[in-house]
This record gives sequence, C-alpha cells and structure tokens, in this order.
Amino acid sequence: MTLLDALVHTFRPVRYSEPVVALDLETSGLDPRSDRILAIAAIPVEGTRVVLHQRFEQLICDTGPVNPEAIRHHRLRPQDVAEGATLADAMYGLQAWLKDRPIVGYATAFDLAFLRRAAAPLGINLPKRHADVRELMHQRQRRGSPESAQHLRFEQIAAELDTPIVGRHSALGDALSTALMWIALGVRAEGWAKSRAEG
Amino acid sequence: MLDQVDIDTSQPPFDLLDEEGKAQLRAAVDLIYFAQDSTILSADAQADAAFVIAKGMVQAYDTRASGGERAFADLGPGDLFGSHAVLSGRARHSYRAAEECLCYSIPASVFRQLTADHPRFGAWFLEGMAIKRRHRQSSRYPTSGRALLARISDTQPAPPVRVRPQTAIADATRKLKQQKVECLIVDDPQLGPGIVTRTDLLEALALDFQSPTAPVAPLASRPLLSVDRNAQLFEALVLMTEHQIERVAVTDAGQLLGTLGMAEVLAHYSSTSHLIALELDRAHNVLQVADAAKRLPELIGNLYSQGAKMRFLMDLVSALNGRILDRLYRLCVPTELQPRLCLLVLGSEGRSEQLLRTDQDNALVAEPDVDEAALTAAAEALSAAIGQCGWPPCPGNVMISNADWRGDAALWQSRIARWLDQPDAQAMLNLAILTDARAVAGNADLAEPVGAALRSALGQDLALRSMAKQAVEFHTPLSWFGRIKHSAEGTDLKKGAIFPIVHGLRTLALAEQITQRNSFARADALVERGALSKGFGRDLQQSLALCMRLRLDTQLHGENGDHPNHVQVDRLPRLDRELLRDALRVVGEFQDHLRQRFRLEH
Repeated sequence: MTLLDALVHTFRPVRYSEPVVALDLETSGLDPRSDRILAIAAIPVEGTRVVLHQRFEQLICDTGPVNPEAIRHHRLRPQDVAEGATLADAMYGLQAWLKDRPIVGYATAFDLAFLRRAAAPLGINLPKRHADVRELMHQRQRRGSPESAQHLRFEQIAAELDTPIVGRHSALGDALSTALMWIALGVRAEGWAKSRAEG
Repeated sequence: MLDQVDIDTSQPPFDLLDEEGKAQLRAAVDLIYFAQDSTILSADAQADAAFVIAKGMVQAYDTRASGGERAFADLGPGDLFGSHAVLSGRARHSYRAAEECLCYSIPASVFRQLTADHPRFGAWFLEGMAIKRRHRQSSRYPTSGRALLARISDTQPAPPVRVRPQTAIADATRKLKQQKVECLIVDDPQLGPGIVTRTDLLEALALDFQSPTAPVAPLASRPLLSVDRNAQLFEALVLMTEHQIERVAVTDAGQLLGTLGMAEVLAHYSSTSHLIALELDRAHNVLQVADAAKRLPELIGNLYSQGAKMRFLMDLVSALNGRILDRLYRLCVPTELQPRLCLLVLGSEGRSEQLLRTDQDNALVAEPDVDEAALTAAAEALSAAIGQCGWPPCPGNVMISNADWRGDAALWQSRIARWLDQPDAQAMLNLAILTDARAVAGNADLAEPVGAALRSALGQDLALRSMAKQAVEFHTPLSWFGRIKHSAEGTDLKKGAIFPIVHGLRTLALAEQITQRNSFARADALVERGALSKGFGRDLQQSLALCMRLRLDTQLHGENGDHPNHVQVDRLPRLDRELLRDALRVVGEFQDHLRQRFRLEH
C-alpha cells in the first residue's frame, strides 16, 4: 500500500452504515484557545439504532472564570460541575470509550478544536475520521437549489429533516438530536434504512 | 414529541417500577428509527424487544382466520407494544410504522427480568385489562380535573359497640346512650354478628310491648350487610337503597371497623338521589315532577365526578327514571285506565343503561277492549308530560304518541310478525329495541305475552342471523391521527363499540333464551350458560363500561355537542387511550365470535 493509499484510507468519508459516535460538548465560551470544556456527551449510532445504553457522559470540574452568557446557554453553573472529573480523567475516559469510531457532530470542527487542545498535552489520539451534519446539510441544500439561502441552524436542520430536538443545550440532548439528524440524513441520502428495516 | 432523552418512566405501566427498576430500564433502552411501512414486529416471529413509541405512529395488525391482515389499532407516542410477544416468546400481532417512527426498544431479557422482579409491573401484563382499570382508579392523574373519589374511608364510621345476645333491652339501650351510637352489634357465636338499631329497641318496647329485661337477640338483623373501607361511598348508598336499610357495617379486610348511616353518606353528596326520590314522592303535578327530574343530570355529574362506577350509576338512574315515569303515569292516565295499560320503556332505558336522557323510546300495551279514543288521549297526555320532564321526542318517532307504538297484545303480535316478515333495517331496529322493553308503570302482566311472542319469533335461526349481521357490520380500528382516517368529530363509540357489544349480547341472549335485559346481566347469564367464557364475558363488560364512561365524560363536558357519541381520542389521557384500544380489540374479537356462532360470512 502506498502512503497515498494509506492516507486515503485513513481519511475516507464516514459512511452512514458504519458505527459512529454522535458527540457534543458544553463549554465555558466560544473560543477554543481560551475557553474550557464543561461537559462531554457521546452516543453510539449503529445504523438506525441510537445505542443510548452505551452512551458516554462526563461533567468536568471547572474552576476557571465564570461566563454568565455561557451559563445562560448551557445552564451548567459552577456548583453543577463541581462534582465532575478532572479534564485529564475525562479525556482518558473518552479515548478508551471512543476507540477509533468516527465522530459525528453539528459544526464538528468547533468541538474537535476543544477536544484536540485538551488531548494534545495528554498524548491522546482522537479518531481521525469525522462528519458534520451541518456540512452534510449544506451540501444537500446546494444540490437542491444552489442559489437559494442556506438554512443551517440547528433548529432549521431538525425541522427540515423532521427530527426531534431533545433537551436543547444540554450535551446529551444535543448529541441525541445530532444522532437523529445523522440517521435521517442517511435514510434520505441512501434509502438503506428502509430495506434494512424490512429485511 | 421527544422531550427527554430517556424513556418516560413516570407513565403507566413503568410507574409501577421502583426507582431501582426504573434505573435498570433506562440503562438498557436504545432508540431506533423505523422508516415508513417498515415492519417492527412480525406476527409469529420471535421478538427480542418490546417497544415504546417516542415519535410517529405505528399500526397493529391482526392475522385473520381467513388469512390476510386487518389493522386493529393505531399507536402513538408513549404507547407500549410487543410486551406480549416478549413475555410469551411469540408475537400475536404485526406492528408496522405508519410513518417515520422513533421507538425506544426494551431488550426482551430486561423486560422479562423487570416483570419477574416487580410483581405489580408483571401483573399489568399478565392480568390485562382488570389491573389497568384498577390502576386508573387508584392513580392520581386527573380524570377531569374535578373532585377526588369519595371513599368510605373518607367518612367517620361510628365505632362498633358490641353486646351479647342475652343482653337485656334496657342494658342495651343504656349502652347506646353512653356510647353515643345509633346501633349495636350483637355478637352471636352461632349466627354471626347482627345489628340492632335505636329504632329496633324503641319499637320492641313501645309497639311490641316487650319487657326491658328481655334479651336483644331476636331483634338483631342478619346478615350484617357491609362495605369495605376502600369501597366507593356510592356503593354504600346503593346497598342501602337496594335493601331499604339505613345503616351498613364498614369492614377492613373482613374485620368490622364500625357502622355508617344514611345521613353520613348523604352528607357527602350535595345533590342527592334520596332528595330527588323524596321530592318525587311529594309531587302532586307534572310541573313538580319535572322540577325533581331536572336535577337528575346534575346528580349524575356529581356522582360521576366522585368516581361512581358506571353500573351503579346506571342502576340508580334507572331506578329514579322508573319512579319519575311511574309518578307521571299516575298523574296523567285516568285512574280507571291505570290497571288496564302498561307503559314500557325500550332500548337503553329498557336495559337500564341510560344515563343522560337521550330520547323517549317507549310503548304502551293495552287490554283488548280499551276504548281507542281514551287510549289515544292518555298516551298523548303521558307523552307530553314525559317530554316536559326532560326526555326529548324520539327522532324515529318510537314513542307512545305515535299510534304504531301502542295497542293490545294481539296488535303487537301482528306488528312483530310483520317486522319479521319484512326484515329491513328499520324493522330489525324496532324488534331490537322492543326486545329490551321493560314495564315501568301500569299492569306489567299485559306486557308478558308481547315479550313471549317476541322471544319466540326472534329465537329462530334466520332472525338471529339477521340481528347478528348488524352487530358485525362496523369495525372501528382506533384512529386518532387524521392522516390515517380523517374524522374531525372523533371516534364514534356508539357505532364502533357500544352498539356491537349491546346488540351482540342481545342476540346471544335471545339465542340462549335468556330474559335479562341489561347488557351486563346478559353477559353474566351467558357466562353462566357457558355461551361465553368467563374471561371474555368480563372483558365485554369492562369494554362496555369504559365506552359508556368515555361517552358520558364527553357529554358531561359539553364537548362535541353535535356528536354526543364521539370521543376525541387524541385528547384522552394515555391510559384511557390504552384501555380504549383494548376495548376495541375486545369488540373485534366479539364480532368474530358472533360470525362464528351465527355462521356469517366475512
């Protein structure tokens, strides 16, 4: 196998039929360079099944400066995360749980930037393959009507795919909503879910 | 819609699990997507999970004896299915996604473990409808946001003061006074407990000239009629009314707790059946009767909101309606004619199943030589008075003001023969409602030959088959999402459930020559004859009571004014929806039973 082949294989697109992990973070703010992870939630998705019972949930004990704006968003107050794990423990736990499964998210680059900054000093390798429902929706809408305005907000995607939004702005709720968007995108793109469910 | 990540364990039947069980459940559940039209469970296949719908609609299918499938229920968010499949190892029914669905899946092994570890949760699935009904009655969710159920335990029974059988009347009276009670319990080791009231002692001394030293033993009434402290207060009222007594014993698991008097019971009802009955007895003209009769709907509403059982409620209403009609008969029919006529109530009133007065279905049977003009005059006066008391005229004109619904026995017999001869829909309906006829006033003996003629005419195979056919004509799969079956006015309970049960039981009763009129009593009698299995008879009774309750609920709330027989299924509490679905399944099974019994084509 050439180096190029290996690279192509390593970064091959995520298929809807393969096992993935829908992931979402809550953070103290929007800047991956200075803000901190407060909560991690991830749920395995296998085909059309959201494997709720194997999910990963971790609050992270955070003693940094409080950002009232962010608290209004995710409602995690300092006392809520006080019982959480250290960031290092949470990252080791996540790595062991994730294995090499691709990560699926909404605006995945944002979450990955936070995760990478946390992973680097610990020598943790994150899965190299990931998918973004926002990006997939963007492509889908462009194929439909290239000129028209894009509707890529979280709520708009859910509405267009007719998927429920569960507990918005909690890490677990957003991870589940994202998982359902991923399944719906797969069903609409490939139509495999139907034949699979019938088989 | 999904408003939380995990399955909602606050809803029945999961609320029957303790916290540990709920946690066990949540830790095992996944969420699965099903495309439209995909099969979630197949009949006869092994099921590895039970499902709770999180989003979307699922349809349940029966496999028919003749092959092919029949949709029998729509299930929506919050509904559980596949439990039977998981518990028995095989699915009875098929379930398909009627639209895109998300379902929580509960692994079979976990489900079975939960039913084994939590007896109340297990009983929910094994005992079926009965426990769901009990759960509904005991659960605290608002039935209609109104009063809580009044129970015996909400009252303060008088303490049981006991005396021995040989106690002297004087000593007993002293004890009564000291303990400030109205009655004494006479403990007799041979005969069991009996009751002696203040009135009994007074009458023994003052009217029967008994000696104050005589023993109380012969004064005691037996057996002691009792109600459990957990029973509805209303049951005490019915027991007292039935037996014409003023006091009942209250027991707790068989142990005597005390006694309860009519006055204490009545104090719990603002508007009382007793008062209406008294008012009726005192009424001297139609207007006064009408005033008393007008209070009946309010009474029904009160009793219903306090949780009175349908059967009790119907018995009471029927008794009061009977008294109203008897009173009107005495006021409107000339005295010399009274013993020469008989007033019959037909249809639901005849079966003692009317709650709110729908219309007057009635008939008159006369002696052969009653003068035609006198009969007409009496019938018209009586019909007008009945109208004044709140029974609207019958739209089909089945009432005594119509010459077709009065006459002597010979005329009735020729009518019955004519209807049988030309059994169109109207004729069959006429025969059916006449089958349920009940004499409420006048000379009941006059109605006997009419009833006998009817029973012998309808007992024939051909007539029975035409009747049975009507009972299987409509099948209503439970639908509440407009997408499958659009019906803005809701689900027609009368057509889809009440009529098939009532008419089917009526037909079976005729076939078995059972003379009971009430549907519940007919079911009991059919079970006794072995014409229905015990479990099925009970299911039919419960299904009928449920549909009647749901219909009454709609009517009392004045919702759906133009469609009093329809319920808006999507507005029902979830447990009611589940019960209704069970009830409609029972209707379907009953219709199959009728088809087989009367050899009808599918």
